[in-house]
Amino acid sequence: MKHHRIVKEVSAFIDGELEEATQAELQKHVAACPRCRIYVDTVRKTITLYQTKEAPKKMPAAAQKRLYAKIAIKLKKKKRQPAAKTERAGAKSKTSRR
Amino acid sequence: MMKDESVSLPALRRGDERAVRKLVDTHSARIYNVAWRILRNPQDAEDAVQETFLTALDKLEQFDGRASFLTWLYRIAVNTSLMALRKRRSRQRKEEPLELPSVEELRSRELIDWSADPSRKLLRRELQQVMDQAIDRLAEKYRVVFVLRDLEGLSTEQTSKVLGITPNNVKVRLLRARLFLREQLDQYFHEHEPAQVKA
Repeated sequence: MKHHRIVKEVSAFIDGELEEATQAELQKHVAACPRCRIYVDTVRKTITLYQTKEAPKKMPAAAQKRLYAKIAIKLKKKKRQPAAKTERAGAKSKTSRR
Repeated sequence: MMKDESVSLPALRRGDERAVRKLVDTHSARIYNVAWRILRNPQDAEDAVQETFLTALDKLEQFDGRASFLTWLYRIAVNTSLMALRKRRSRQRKEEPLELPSVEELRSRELIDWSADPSRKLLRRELQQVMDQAIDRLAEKYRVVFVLRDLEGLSTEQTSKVLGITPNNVKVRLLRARLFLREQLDQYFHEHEPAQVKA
């Protein structure tokens, strides 16, 4: 039955998220069972292979520049917006007074 | 995940350029990475980063400060990236259901130990392709948990906050993602590395 538990809980086992007693019990089983050890080790290896392959990527300098440019436009628009709203509101009230 | 009180919320809300620049400088690298890892394409990742920061500036009033800026930005970045991914996938093909072998099936199979395989073998283009294809086939709800937990290094708790799902749900999805990816690599090693240790 422990084989079943390893397959069902391999992820939590690897992350050490099981209760202490369960973790210790499964650890003991994995040490004695070659199939379960291979299973656990290959799940671990899958994670490390992806971590190696998907190492952090630097945002290209040109992309960073474009990001700042877009943000600058946005900030300008944001600053203009309240003024424009006030102007529009003012114009509306003048129209309604006429 | 770090708390970044160094970025002043009132200054950001005023549209203070220096505060906004600080926010972008502090977080753009991580946001680019998470977008890249979900979308797996530099142009799409760049678009998602732009969209993330522009949306954040629009929604600053809604930021209540209960989470850190980074958690909040992660949430926007993940949603933006997933929307882009859905758009792309609907143009290409529908997501496949995640199929995993049963415990009984695993028990009856010959197991190959490829865990000792040195990482330098990663340089093999073929294995890289298998890894790319495997993660591409992973349905988005599993992919995003795998990215946040195993690649971005977020905890279960942090991932649950970013995605708005329970910690238990994070654990279940992570298990399925890891097993699916392991299964794809296992098939590759069965076909290409017959000399490995068997049990």
